[in-house]
Amino acid sequence: MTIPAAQDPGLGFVPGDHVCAFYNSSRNVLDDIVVDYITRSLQAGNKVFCMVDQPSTVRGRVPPELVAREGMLHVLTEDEAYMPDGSFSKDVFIRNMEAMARAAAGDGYGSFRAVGDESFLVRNGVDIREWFAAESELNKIIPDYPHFFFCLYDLDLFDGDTVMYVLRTHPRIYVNGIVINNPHYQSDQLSA
Amino acid sequence: MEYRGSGADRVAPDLSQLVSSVNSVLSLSLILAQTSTPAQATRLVTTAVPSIAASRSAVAWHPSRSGDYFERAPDDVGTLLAGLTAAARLDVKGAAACSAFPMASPFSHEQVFLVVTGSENLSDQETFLLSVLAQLCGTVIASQESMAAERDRLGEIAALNAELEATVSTLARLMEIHRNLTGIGASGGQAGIAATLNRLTGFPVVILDEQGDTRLTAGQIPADYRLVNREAGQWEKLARLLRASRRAIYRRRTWLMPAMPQADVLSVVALVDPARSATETDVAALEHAATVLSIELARRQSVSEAELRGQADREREVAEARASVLAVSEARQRAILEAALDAVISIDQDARVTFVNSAFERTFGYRSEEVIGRDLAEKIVPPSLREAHRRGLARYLETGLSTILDRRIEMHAMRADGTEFPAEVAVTRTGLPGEAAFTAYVRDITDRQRAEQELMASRARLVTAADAARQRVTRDLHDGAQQHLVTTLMNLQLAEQRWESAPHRARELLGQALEDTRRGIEDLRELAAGLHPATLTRHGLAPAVRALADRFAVPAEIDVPAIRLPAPIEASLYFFCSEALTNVVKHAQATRAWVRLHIAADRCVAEVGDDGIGGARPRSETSGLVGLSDRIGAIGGTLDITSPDSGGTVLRASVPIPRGAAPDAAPDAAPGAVPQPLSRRPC
Repeated sequence: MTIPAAQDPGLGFVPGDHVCAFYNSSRNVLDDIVVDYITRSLQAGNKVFCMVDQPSTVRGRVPPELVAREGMLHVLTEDEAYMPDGSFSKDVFIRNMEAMARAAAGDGYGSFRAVGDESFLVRNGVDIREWFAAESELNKIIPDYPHFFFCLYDLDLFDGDTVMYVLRTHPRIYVNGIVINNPHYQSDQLSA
Repeated sequence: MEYRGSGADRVAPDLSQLVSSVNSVLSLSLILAQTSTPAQATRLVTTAVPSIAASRSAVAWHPSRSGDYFERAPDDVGTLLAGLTAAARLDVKGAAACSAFPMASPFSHEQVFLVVTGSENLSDQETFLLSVLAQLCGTVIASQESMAAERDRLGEIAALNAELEATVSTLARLMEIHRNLTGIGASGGQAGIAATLNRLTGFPVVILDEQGDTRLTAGQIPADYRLVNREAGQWEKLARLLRASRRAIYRRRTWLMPAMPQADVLSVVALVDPARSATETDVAALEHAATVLSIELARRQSVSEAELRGQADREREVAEARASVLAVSEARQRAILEAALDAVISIDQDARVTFVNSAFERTFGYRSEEVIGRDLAEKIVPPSLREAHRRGLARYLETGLSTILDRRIEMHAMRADGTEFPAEVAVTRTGLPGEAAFTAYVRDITDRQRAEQELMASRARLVTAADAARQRVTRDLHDGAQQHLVTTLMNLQLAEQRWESAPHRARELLGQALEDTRRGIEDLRELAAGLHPATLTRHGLAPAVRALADRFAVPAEIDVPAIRLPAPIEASLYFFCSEALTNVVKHAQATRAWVRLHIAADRCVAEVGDDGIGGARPRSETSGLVGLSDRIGAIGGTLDITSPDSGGTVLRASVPIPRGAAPDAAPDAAPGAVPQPLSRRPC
């Protein structure tokens, strides 16, 4: 698959992508993946929304000169992003994602790119089925916008059963630095 | 029991379900590859099994033991698992259905099985998928273990590299320390070592000596710094500790390292480090500096010893040269002393004889071996003088005062036969300071004293003779010429009184006066013959002797050359001739006499002889011959008398002519005469 250079965040993403990636927190590679993704997105002139537990660390590693506009890089903790009301709600989450994507388009950004670590699920005991229902819902709104959703799962936290949910809900997988199609993706999976 | 499947199990499932199941395994395999540890991979697989085979659960079991990603199977299951190499159904008590799938790979070292249990047996599709998944998991685990081992190796290599780098860095640092310290060389000395160590470490440096005193410092020593309290004996304790130490030790806010070039020499190099912040390299620099200091101290000691040896060699050479010179000098001195006419005796401060010369042996009658090592006083000092001799030596040795040193004194000495003799003795000190020794020069003056006594007697006789001559002249004048002149005066007065009344008698009186006058003149002439004649003074010996002979009744032949001699010699020889001719007239009854004089070498010999009766002998010290001998002896001459009883007498006076007083011709002694050789010139 070939994508225009201006839209290519450098990782093989294509507009409308919903990509999952697995990492090992014990290897401390999350920051590397996130920072690389953000840096390339900013270089492409996109608005970036980041949801991680160590936002200051990520922000500190992104070259500030890449943030050309106020609000171009929006970094929140996972809890702030996923549970703004103190608990996770699939509907609230989806609405917020759609609102941010539209706002980015309205602000003249060529694309809206979201990246989030989903460790908050384990930490907060979020209902896995509701979460993956939200993940499936994202697949339905994605084609309407030139955005990218990049979901990160820690193999040290999630078991095989959860991993199988992830594989069923993400069309593409980020493996060893490249994005490939996920053969196990099931577009009709999990409607909450 | 090995799983083989049945015909019913091999009924083709729904194709879409099959594809979905295969896709799930494929996708899971992608994620499986993302896991980082065997435990993570095993957990992923075992927890994913329900998604692949519904209503099943799975564990990772080992037949006989547990591990970090597997557990030990129950004994009954472990027995079934042991030796299992392929997937198989197991008949396990309590489980409706149980299947085991080897998590094997070509690289796996463990017999771990994915054991799936459930209420019913697995389908062929599930069995195949789980077999694949188990194999994948085993491969992933083997890969992870291999990678882990590789990481470990890489880690070890990295650690080794880091250690090597640290070692190289340390070596480089030590090389720099070595180069800096050994580069100091002999010129830098201890100050250079201290300064270099201070520069290398940044810590103040102190070098202490064996007593704990600071020899020198480098860098800023803290004002309150004090290593030990010397008065409390702390240094001795610390020094003992340092002597036993081969590495640097930290005591009293200081790194200390002994420098011991020898077991009994201690010097200490100290790094003042109150915060104990010195690095291992700093301490290594300290130890190296101490080694260099040891070398420096050893070098200095070697140089000092070499200098001392050189000085000792030079002193020995000088001593040998002096000894050689002294030996030559002593040999020469001994030769001189040996050849000396005086007796030479050397003694030590105990008055033991250490040397005598040949003259000593001749003078004292001892052989040298009879006196060497013996007490001087016992040998040559007369018994009456020994005690005084010993007291004088003791007094000198005690006070340095002496009445005889460096003077010539006369005293009596004693020969080997006990006889004593007068000696002139000169004693000098010859020993070295602190080793008194003395040398005496002894001259036997027996002959000299006899000569002096004879001289004294001769002088006394001359005085006596002079007095006698004066008395004789007085008497002769009184009894002779004076009487004649008095008689002449009386006869002339009587003749004047009777010239008118008795002219005959007056003439007789004039005749008597004339005769008395002649006798008076004769008496005066004879008297004058015994006095120093004016002719001798004016014309010399030859005319004077001739005039003298003319007055004697015995004819004399005169053979005296016309020469002039020193006045004392002419006078003595004149009176010798006069006295000898008088004796001829008075005693020899001779018919003829002769006077001869000649010059022989540096002597003048005068001879008076006669043909008389001979037998002349000096009868007493007042006799004429003794007087003649004294007169001749007074001018250094000798008198020989030859007067046999058979007749004839010859007196021969031999008088030395002083050097530079060679006889002169006397031209006025014989006017017109030509001077001739003295021995042939007759008078």
